[in-house]
Order: sequence, then structure tokens, then C-alpha cells
Amino acid sequence: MITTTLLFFPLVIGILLFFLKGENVKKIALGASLVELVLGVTAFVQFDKKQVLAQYVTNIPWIKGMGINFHIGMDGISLVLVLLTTLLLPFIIMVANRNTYKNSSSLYGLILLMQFGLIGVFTAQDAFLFYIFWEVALIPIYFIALLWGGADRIRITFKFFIYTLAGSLLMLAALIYLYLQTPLPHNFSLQALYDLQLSEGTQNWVFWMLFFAFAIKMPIFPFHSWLADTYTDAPTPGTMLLSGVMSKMGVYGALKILLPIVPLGVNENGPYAITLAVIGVIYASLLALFQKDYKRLIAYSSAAHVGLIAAGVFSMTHNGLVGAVAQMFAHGISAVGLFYVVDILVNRTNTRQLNELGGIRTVAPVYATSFMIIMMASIALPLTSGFIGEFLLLVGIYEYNYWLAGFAGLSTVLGAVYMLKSYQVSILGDKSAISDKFFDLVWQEKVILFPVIILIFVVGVYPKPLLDVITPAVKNLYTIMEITIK
Amino acid sequence: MKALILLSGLGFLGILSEILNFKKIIYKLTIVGLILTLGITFLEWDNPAPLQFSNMVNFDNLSISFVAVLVLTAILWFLSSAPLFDDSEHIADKTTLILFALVGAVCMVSYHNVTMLFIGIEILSICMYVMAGSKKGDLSSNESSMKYFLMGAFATGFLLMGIAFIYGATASFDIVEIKMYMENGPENVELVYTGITLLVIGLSFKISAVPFHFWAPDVYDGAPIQVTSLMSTIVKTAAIAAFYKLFTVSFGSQSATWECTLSYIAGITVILGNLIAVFQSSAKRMLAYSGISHAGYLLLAILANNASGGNALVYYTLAYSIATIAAFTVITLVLQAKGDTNFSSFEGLGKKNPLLALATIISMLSLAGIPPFAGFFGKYYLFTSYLENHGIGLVVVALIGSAISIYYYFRLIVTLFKGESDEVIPMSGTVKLVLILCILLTVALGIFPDVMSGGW
Repeated sequence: MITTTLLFFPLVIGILLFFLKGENVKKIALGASLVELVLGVTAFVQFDKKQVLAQYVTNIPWIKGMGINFHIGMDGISLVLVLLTTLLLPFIIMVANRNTYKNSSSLYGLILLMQFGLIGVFTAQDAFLFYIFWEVALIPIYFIALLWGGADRIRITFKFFIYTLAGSLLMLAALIYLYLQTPLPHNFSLQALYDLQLSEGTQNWVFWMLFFAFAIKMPIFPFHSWLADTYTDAPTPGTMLLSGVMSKMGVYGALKILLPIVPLGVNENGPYAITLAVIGVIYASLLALFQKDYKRLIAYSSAAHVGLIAAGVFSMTHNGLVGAVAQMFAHGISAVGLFYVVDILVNRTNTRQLNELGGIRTVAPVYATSFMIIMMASIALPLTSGFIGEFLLLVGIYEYNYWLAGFAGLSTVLGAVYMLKSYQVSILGDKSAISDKFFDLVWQEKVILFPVIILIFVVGVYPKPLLDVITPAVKNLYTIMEITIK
Repeated sequence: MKALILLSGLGFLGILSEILNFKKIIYKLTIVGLILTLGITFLEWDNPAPLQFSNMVNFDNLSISFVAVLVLTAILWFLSSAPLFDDSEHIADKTTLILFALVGAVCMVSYHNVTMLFIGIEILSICMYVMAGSKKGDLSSNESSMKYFLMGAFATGFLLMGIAFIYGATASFDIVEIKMYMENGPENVELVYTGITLLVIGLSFKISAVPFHFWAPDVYDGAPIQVTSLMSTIVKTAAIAAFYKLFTVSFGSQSATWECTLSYIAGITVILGNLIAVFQSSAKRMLAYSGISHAGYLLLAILANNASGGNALVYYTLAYSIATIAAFTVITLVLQAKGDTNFSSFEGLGKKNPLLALATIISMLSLAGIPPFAGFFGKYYLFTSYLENHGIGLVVVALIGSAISIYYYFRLIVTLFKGESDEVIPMSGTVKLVLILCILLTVALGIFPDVMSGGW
């Protein structure tokens, strides 16, 4: 029941918002997202950690003739991601409040519709339903980026849409093939797909078809070319949705669909995947190093982080998988924080170029401190939320291969380099002419940033509740993989 | 069955309205009559009338489904095409012609005897030839009508020759008797194979499959836009239903003969239709070419050669017709406001015309096959029914075609939001009603696709 509410509440409110106008729209949107948050936290708190299978399940026959059920539920991994979505959305809406957008009621409507699609992806227990929500989640973000984006938005959003859709079509073809392999009457439920015993050769090509879809979504090098433009060009709420939650869809897909269904394929081709992921991490970090546009820099750093998460997933080690889920949660929070900090900067100074900024610390110490803390979370300093995930990921990759871990670890170093360097150039040092216009945080901005900071510390100091939920689900994933391998 | 009678009656009412001079209300009468027909058709479901008129027509469940699709499309079309009937002089003529075209379409989906198929095609086509040329002063309308007539007559010639050959082999026009002849090992294979090939050609003309599609863009482009809308939906639905019925019932056992050819036709139609649509600068022509590519997808149902193919076909034609009517309504509105249908006329209209924008977005997404709209499930049903008996090759081609189609469908959506325009396009109440109905139906069919596969 709670899953159904979590899923459909933003849909209903979102559609409603399209028809409303005026000041109330912001309040309703914020209220709806807070209600969702309460629901999400309740689900988290009441979760039975001893149960490994999905909980809060709703299973209704939908299209009988095609073996498709409306089957939703949450296991540990789903729960963490649903919690992330419900957690980030109030922040995103408050950020949207802070900027003035034309036709803002449509923006809020689209943001809530996006939440509907995302929660659908994270709670679907039926492969076809997963695909439907995967595509549905693409539509609102496309329009957010199209309608409120920057100058080149038409070309960029179009590339983003087609690229992602092409990958999804491959996934659909693979899913249909898998469906036809289930015993009669054919069934799309994930459990039925997990139970399939496919030959190694079949697992191989199915792996590649599924891999492309998820690799484009995460993205992994070399399918990353859509990322920098789309993240930079989209309006800040859109970028937060993209970076904070949507990038996790690809990793979630790998965890829920790729690993359990074709583990032999992952075994065979994992080396390629993990190598590509690590290359992507280094590549994105290096590109971030040379960026002059702050938003683009954060976008590349986001790609680097997700690349590391992907590497952890394909290492197929326990630590890697737990670290992946934990880091998804942590990265979501810090991504939202970072993009908002940059958004404040852009709103005040009208520029994203690093070389025009400088010495903001002298004018806005609170802002500078907040920025520093969020940046530390991104660099994965111990005591911040980013640390536990990053640490587990590196351990997992090390268990797989020392060299890859070395290179991946390099990304942490590089991350520190470009973040600190950009911080130094813009916040420290001498005041530039533009920075004079800067004034310190107002209370609305503190309301957004301070909770993010508190979350960073809470998760950093006491990650146990999170890990307690993730670990059984990961163990279950292992069990499924082992059964299929045997 | 009752639908056929009702529609013919409505047609005669149209003629009477001209003679007895109550033609001013014939438009509203027609809509009421069509709604009545739709209701009666639903009542006939699972209650199929036995073979009628010495086995000429057979209203089984599949036929009734197609009749329902046709009548629903006609209702939506009539509601959206009020401007065509503004001309008080010819209002009765046009209404009557279209009603009789609908009768022809109903004959084409419910025939049991191949001559009935021919009669249906001719009734439909002749009415359409006249309607295509109905804008008398416009040279392109005249050209469209002439091209349509000449090519259509040519195609019907192929069809008739094919029927003749089959008759020569089987000594019967009845599709079940033909089927039994085919299943018992056709003796006169030269006649049979030639006949089947000619029928493939003739029917491919009617659905505008490549390489028999050359008439379609010019005819669609020259005709008045509401007539184009009618041609894209009702004519295509009726033609593909007829094609499906003939080939799966009568020639199903001979699939080895026609499968290969039809596969190639389907594949090339999908690719070529989509590729050419990419380069169009007029929205009307783009929809015409995209309609050609949809004919390619529809052929997959025939190639599937099983019952689920028929279900898929009903669902797909319904989803496609609704989305097309919505799209053409939008284009008509822009045409009336701006004078042409080039993409540049759509720029920026999204800002002040939310209903227009929403209708465009949903119909384009549905035609492109994006979930959760009806168009996606239509394609999905088609592909799964095809995959039941075949390998994946043609499906991959269809998927590639779909991916290409996203470009030009999205182009229209994106153009609506490009730039800034404060122009408000005037919309009458009925047009708003049609757009809202189309949106709701597309979404509802997407959420409850089971409705059409007999799951109700």
C-alpha cells in the first residue's frame, strides 16, 4: 500500500499542478514533496531488515494476455533509492522556488511527474513495468530541459533523448527475448527472469544489449557525450534531478536486471565493463580539471563519481556492491548541494566562469563554509557521507584487481585536486570585481543548504542504518547470482 | 451488420437532406447517427450475426472490432472537420460522400466474398477521389484527385486481375472456400501464385506501401487537409484490415509464397517512409510520409499470420487513427491561422496554446511509440505477435525505423516551444472537445491496453 501511495501521489498532484496558477502552486508542490518524504522515511523506518525479498508489495494483474503485472515493491536497494528520491525532491522544489521561471506551475508539475517515473523505476518488480517507467521518467526531464534550458537546448535535449532512447530500445528487445524464454505461460516478473537458466553464449549477447542501455544512462565512457551538455544546459532543478537521481537509474538497472539475470555474462564481460568505468572515471576527472565553467566542472565530477559506482558494481564483490548503493545515496545528496551552491553563485554574479570569480570568502563566509563542507563530502573526506561509499567501493575494486583500484583511487586524488583548485580560484584569494556583488546567504538559502550539510554529517558519522538496509539486499543479490551461475 | 444498414441509411438521409432541403442540420444529424452506430456495434460484440446476404459479408468479432474503430475514427473526424462543412452549398454532398465512403470501408472489413471486397474498395475509393478534389478552385486539389483516381484505378486493375486468377484456380469467390482449396494443396499453382502476387501488389497500393507509395505524398498534400486526415486514417484502416483478412484467412496456408515479398515490402516501407519524412519541411507532408511508414508496421500483423496479429492490428489502427486525427486537427488549426503548414508556422505557439501543445505532444509521442501511450503498446503487440512465429530481423528494422521517426515527431513538439510567440490560435468548442477526447483516449488505451485484446 505504501509503495502505491509513494508512486501515485506525485502523479496526481503533478497533473493537478498543471491546471493551477499563482503563488499557491509553490506551496502545494513543496507540501506534496514533504508528504512524500514522510512516506519515504516511514517506509525506511518500518522496513524489516531480516526480510530479503521485496516488501510493501502490490501485485495486480495488468495485461494478462502479455504476462505483465502491475508488481511493485521495495527491497533494500530499492528502498535506499526511493528514500533518496523523496529526500531530494523537497530540496529541488525549494531551489526551483528560489529562481523565477516562466510558467512555473508546469515546472513543478513536471518535477512531480519525474518523481512518479523515478519511484516507478526503483520499485518495479516486473520487467515490462520497469521498462515503461524507465521511458516515462525520460519525458518530464526532457521537457524541463527543453522549456527552461539554456541557449542551445533544442539540439542538446534532442541528443540526450535519442541517445537514451536508443539504449532503452536495446533493453526492450533483450527483455522481450528473456520473456519468451520463461516457461509458459510467459511472465515478465523479475523473479521469473532471475530463475532463468540461460546458456553462457546467450548470457553473453543479452549482457551486451542490456549493458548498452545502462551504460548510456549512467553514463559510462564512451557513451558519456550527452552528459556535460545536458547537465550544464538544463535549469538547476533539472540538473539536480539528472545528477541526483536519474543517474542512479542506470546503476540500479545494472543491479536489478543485469547482474541477477546474466551473471555469467557479467563474469565474462565484467573486465571490459569495469575497465571502461575506470577509464571513464579518470577521463571525467581530467576533463573536470581543465574546465573553466563551474557548472560543467561539477557535471564532469558527477560523471566521475557515477563511473566509480559503476566500477564497484561490476567488480561483483560484496564490498563493491554495498559501497555502490551507499555511494549512490551519498552522491545524490552532495550533487544536489554542489549544484545549488553553483546556482547561488550564478544568480548573484551572473557568470559561471571560474576566472571571473575570486575572494568570495571575504564577502560571504557562511556561504564559503557551506560550500567547503559540501565539497568535502564530494571528495569523500571521512566523517562526511561520501566517505563510506567511496571507501567500500575502493575496497571492492581492490579485491577485484589491484591496478584498477590504483587507477580508481587516483580519481579520488584528482577529485580533490579539481574541487580544491576551483574552490581556491573562486572562493579564496583576491576579490574580483564581480565578487563584490556577492552577498552572504539569505535564510531561504540556509534552509536548503543547512539540512544538506546536516545530512552529510549524519550519514557520514552514523551510516549504520543505511548499511543495515543495504547489506541483506546485496546478500540476496549474491544468492540469486550464485544460483544462476550453478 | 446493423452498422452497415445504419450507415447506409445515414447516407441516404444525406441525399434526402439535399432534396428535401434540411441540409443545414445534416452535419449534426450525422454525428448523432454515428454515435448511435457505435453504440449498436458495441452491442453486437460476441453476438456475431451469421453470414449475411448469401455469404457476402460476415460480421465476426474481428470485423465488429474494425467497424468500431472506423466509426469511432469517423466520429472524431467529423467533430474536428467542421470547417470543411462550412460551405453551405455542398454540405450535404460532402457528408453523403463521406458516409458512403464509410459504408465502403465497413464492407472492406467485413467481407466474406472477394467481390464484396472489390465493391467495398470501389465505393470507398470513388468517394475519396471526389473528396480529394473537393476544393474546386484549388489546382493542387484537382491534381491530387486526378492522381488518386488514375493510380487508384490502376491498382484496382491489379486487384481485379488477381481476384480473377484466384477464381480461375478455385472456382469460387468465397474466402473460406478459397482457404479450403489452398489447404488441400492448390493444384493450379501458376494461377494461384500469380493471383496472390497481383493481390499483394493491388492491396499494397491501397495501403501505400513502398514501392507502391508514389501516389501518396502528392495526393495527401494536395487534398484539403481534413480529407487527408480521413484518407490517412479510415482508408488505411480499412485497407489493412482487408489485406489482413484476405491473406490470413484465404492464403494463410500459402504463406511460403507471399511471406518473403511482404517482408521486404514491410522492411523497405518502414525505413524509406521514415527516412523521407525526416527531410520534410511541411508538417502535412511529414504526416503523409509517416503514414507510409506506419503501413510498414501494420504489415507485420499480416506477416504474423496468427490470431494475435488481428488483435494487434485492431489496437494499432485505433491508436494510430486517434493520434493522427489529433495531429491533423492541430495542423489544420495552424493552417487556418497562419496560411501554411510549414514547421516555421508552428514556432513558439506552445506558450499561449496549452491544449494545442498538449495534444501535439501526446499524439506525437504516441505515434513515435513512447510509453505509456497507446502507440507504444500498439507497436509492442505487433512485434510480439510477429515474434511468435518469426525471427527478430524485421523487428529490428522496425525498431530502427521507430528510432528514426522520433526525430521528425519531436521536431514538431520542439518547434512549438522554439522562440516566443504570443499568438493565441482560435479554437472552437468542438475542436477542443476532439483534442481532449483524443488525449484521454490515447492515455486510457495506454494504461488499459487489455481492453482491445478482448480482455473486457
